[in-house]
Amino acid sequence: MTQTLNSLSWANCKIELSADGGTTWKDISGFANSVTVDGGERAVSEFMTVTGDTPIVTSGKRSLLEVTVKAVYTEDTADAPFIMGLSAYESATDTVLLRWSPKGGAIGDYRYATSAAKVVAPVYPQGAADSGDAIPVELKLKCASITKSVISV
Amino acid sequence: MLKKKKLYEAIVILSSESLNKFIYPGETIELSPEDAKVLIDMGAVKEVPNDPNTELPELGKLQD
Repeated sequence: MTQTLNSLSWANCKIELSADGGTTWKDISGFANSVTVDGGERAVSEFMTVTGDTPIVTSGKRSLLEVTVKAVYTEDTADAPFIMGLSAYESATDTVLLRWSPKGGAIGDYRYATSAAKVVAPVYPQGAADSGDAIPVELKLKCASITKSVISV
Repeated sequence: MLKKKKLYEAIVILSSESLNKFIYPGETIELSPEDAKVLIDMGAVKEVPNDPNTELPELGKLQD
């Protein structure tokens, strides 16, 4: 089989954040560095019988997902990821939605979107005087699902 | 001149930029032929048979 020519890097990824239930989306590609997804494992169990040599395998539900966005800390706009994330973290009820499109977000590209997510960890700037790095912040989100879709007009 | 939009049926979940919502498989969406071509080529939508947008008006309605 020939080798694919369609692999992608993260260089053109479009990352967007919404703090109003998806009515408006803020393009945070100019702030964000990475998106990582953890959790979501499906419960799987095994049961051994006396007769069998291999287990009976059964499966159940999927666990919640933890999505982490690493972004740069800025204080310039009210809708910067840090401000949006901190506001959602400090509220017991507010949620955010995150969506990202590895190919760039044009018509026909895939898009991955979280369901309503809680910001579950503090979103405060941290650093040390002996570092010249830009200050990062991390938005740790927990949500029930991520929907894969194809972008249309 | 703008080409007339037609109805297309979603085969996979679509994320509509203009409607700001998901279009689920089996639901329909209006697309221009240019936009539809991209999505048809990747198997995301298909043409709707008997699309009312492309049906010819009945003779009686023409006279009205």
